[in-house]
Amino acid sequence: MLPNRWNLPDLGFGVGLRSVHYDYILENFPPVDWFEVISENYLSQGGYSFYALEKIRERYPIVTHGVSLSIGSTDPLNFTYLERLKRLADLMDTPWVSDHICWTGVNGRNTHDLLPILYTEETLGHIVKRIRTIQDFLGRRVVLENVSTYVEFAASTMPEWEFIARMAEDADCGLLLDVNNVFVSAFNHNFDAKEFIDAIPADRICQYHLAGHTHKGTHIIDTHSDHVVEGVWELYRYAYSRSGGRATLLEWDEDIPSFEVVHAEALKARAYRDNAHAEGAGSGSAIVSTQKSEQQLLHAFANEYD
Amino acid sequence: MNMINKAHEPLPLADFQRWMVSVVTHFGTDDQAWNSDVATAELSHDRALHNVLPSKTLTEYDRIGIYRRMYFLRMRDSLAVDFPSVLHLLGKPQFEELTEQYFTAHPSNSYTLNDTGLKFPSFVRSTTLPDKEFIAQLAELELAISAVMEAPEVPPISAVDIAGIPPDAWDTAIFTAVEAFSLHEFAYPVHDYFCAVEDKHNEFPNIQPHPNFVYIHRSNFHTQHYALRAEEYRLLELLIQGTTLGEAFEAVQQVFTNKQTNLEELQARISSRFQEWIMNGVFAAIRT
Repeated sequence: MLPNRWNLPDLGFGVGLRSVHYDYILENFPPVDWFEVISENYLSQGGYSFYALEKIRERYPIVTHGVSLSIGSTDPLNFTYLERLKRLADLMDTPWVSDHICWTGVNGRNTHDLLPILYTEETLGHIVKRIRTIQDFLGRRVVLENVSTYVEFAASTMPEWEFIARMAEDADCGLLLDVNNVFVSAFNHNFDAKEFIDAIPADRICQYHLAGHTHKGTHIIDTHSDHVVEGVWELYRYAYSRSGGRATLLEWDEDIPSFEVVHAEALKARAYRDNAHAEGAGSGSAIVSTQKSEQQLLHAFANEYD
Repeated sequence: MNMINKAHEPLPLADFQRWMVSVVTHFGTDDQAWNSDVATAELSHDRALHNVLPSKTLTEYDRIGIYRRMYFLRMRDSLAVDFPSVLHLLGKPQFEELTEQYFTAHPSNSYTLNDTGLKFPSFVRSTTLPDKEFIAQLAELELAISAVMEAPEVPPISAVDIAGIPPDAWDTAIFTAVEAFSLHEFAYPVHDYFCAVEDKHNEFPNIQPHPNFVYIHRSNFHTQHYALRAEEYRLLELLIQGTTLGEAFEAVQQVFTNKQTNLEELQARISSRFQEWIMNGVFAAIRT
């Protein structure tokens, strides 16, 4: 077991806070360990959403998770956005501030999507510099998440996992390992998901994400619209066996069911953790055995839809 | 990494990003997007095609197309959430066409999707749509309701505050509205239309000029919209502009008392509405 290098807390098993669940949470205060909130939904600090967040904050730890940092964009950093983000992070006393390893637009134009990075030395140097600036500005550890991607580029000079590992080391930032995104991209780009996870510095992982996806046959889309599939759970168990206890969060963003269903899905992670413990977290034998099953799973997908 | 390799060619990051955004945000076909003047100004079609790797199952166009389709759906849904009555009026095909035209003219430049519709009413006015002024005013009403929903919560004046005002001080009292409040005058019956969409029992109005006066207000995080008569609108307008209660009543009486409306009826009606506004929590402060 390895703690993360900053001793950031293992918050337990959390759920992404969504507006359809505000009333249920405020009436029942369910036994959830923590909530993650989409930063941009609360930056204006007005309306019922912010009221609900403030009430929920009184009882639960909150982590802010953004979608608009656009860390990879060649546009200048948006300090108006960053000032609002800092104010929210301070109000919520969030242990870290997370966003995505992506870019959302350029020339002032925002696609509101998590666009794929060109994995080059130029991009790496650009992003590292921006992460350092943002960490200094926010006064908090920045934790960045690998995204699901649907395209690769010939101009890239290194695989995604090498890029992420170097970025984290050079910028001294944390990582949010979304195992569903690893699974999705592994299928879409035909790589070994465990090779990805093995390359990620475990002591920089501060958080895990879990989610459902939509299999389109020829590719997988990261929709957060369903239960977590077995292959993703296995990948989570594998990643956890390398890192040990880290805050784990379940995301559900489309066709959102009742809070009880979402929470129950998040709590499944506990069983996978316990299973990893039973096998001896961090042992080589566990890694080898699960790696094989995961490869078989991915090849099964590939064979089925090729 | 993908098994289908193409020879590596260096590509400046900024060129790549400008190309990708130009293609992803183009609303035409894949072919039109890749070959648009904007896209080819950044990367020639051949160079772009070389840079994008196909998968075993998807072509280069297919893979970029995933982002293109998601962009369109995201922007369409964003506008549909902001403008449900405009969507109802136009129907899905025409609304989608308008979405494409709007985001081509006004691509999002905000970090939040909440701002994507801010220029929609003025854009509608610039089109050749029949009934464009009605649609623009309907969109303005829907934006105003969203703005009130997101406004900061400010406590209204309390019953204790009101009870503490001496009877002779009301005449010179000046009022401040809560932040979650707005007042509107429309030349078309857009509020009637909005109510008909919201409550299916209401009849849809004719799309002909007919004034609608509305105030929008949020109390305890419930946003409400109320139709006003012209004299009620004028009274409320004067009050939130800082006119004393006595002067505001006087001004309204002078303008709206005529052969059809006697003074006592008018006084009774606007007094009743004024009390309703107080009870509803429209005002944050009273200065006497």
